[in-house]
Amino acid sequence: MVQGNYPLPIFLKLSSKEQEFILQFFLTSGSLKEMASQLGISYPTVRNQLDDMIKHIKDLNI
Amino acid sequence: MIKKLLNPIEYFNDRKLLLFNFLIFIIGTIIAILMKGWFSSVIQLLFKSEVNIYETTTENIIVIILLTIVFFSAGKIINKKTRLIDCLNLSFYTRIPFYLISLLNFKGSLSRSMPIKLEDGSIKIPSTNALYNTSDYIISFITSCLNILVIIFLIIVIYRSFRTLSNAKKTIDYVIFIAIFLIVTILSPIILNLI
Repeated sequence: MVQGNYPLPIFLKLSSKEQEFILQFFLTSGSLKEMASQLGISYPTVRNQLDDMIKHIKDLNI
Repeated sequence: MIKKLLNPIEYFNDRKLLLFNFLIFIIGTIIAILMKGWFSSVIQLLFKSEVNIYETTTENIIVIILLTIVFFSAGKIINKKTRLIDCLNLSFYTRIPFYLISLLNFKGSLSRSMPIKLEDGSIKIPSTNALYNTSDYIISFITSCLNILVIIFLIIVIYRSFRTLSNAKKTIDYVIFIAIFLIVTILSPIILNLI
């Protein structure tokens, strides 16, 4: 048995919605337009979600 | 569906929306001309007894350009990733209620009751006697109620769509937008009067 306090990887600190977004982003080869088409929303909406996530991850790193 | 109508920029594909908006722009401009409407500022539609096709079309194009400048300049200040196509789409979209309102002038009663644009470019306000019968008053009343609804609709659409196209979040973002919008709204009658 191994016991102790270990920092969580950043990916696990994200909400399930954010993790799902990253997975979608990966599966569409990073194409926001493709993601927007698959999710049934517009390009600026997906771009805003990405920008918000980048800011969130940067905040977590600090 | 209402959610989508109140924020088309969030839900619709930009190119499809632009095509739709452009078609509505052509149809709407034709309706405005047929109903003798003229655009005296970015947020105003008036009527006169006779309109010039060239004038109404040019006014509508200039209004769309001015609105695009407002959305794009404010958007770029807030977020450098703001795209011109989204601003253009929002400008086109905010014109739709004005085309619908112009349909109320099918009898020409609004042409008689609204301010008249004179040859020298000045505006003359007609007396209340310009309204002739009860149906004219009813149409004027309906128009007034619709105007209030249109203003509320436009505020919601512009607020939500601008938030999406620029990713605006802070109060200062909206202050910048409102300031630019007010400046252009004040300047637009002067610019439109130059036609």
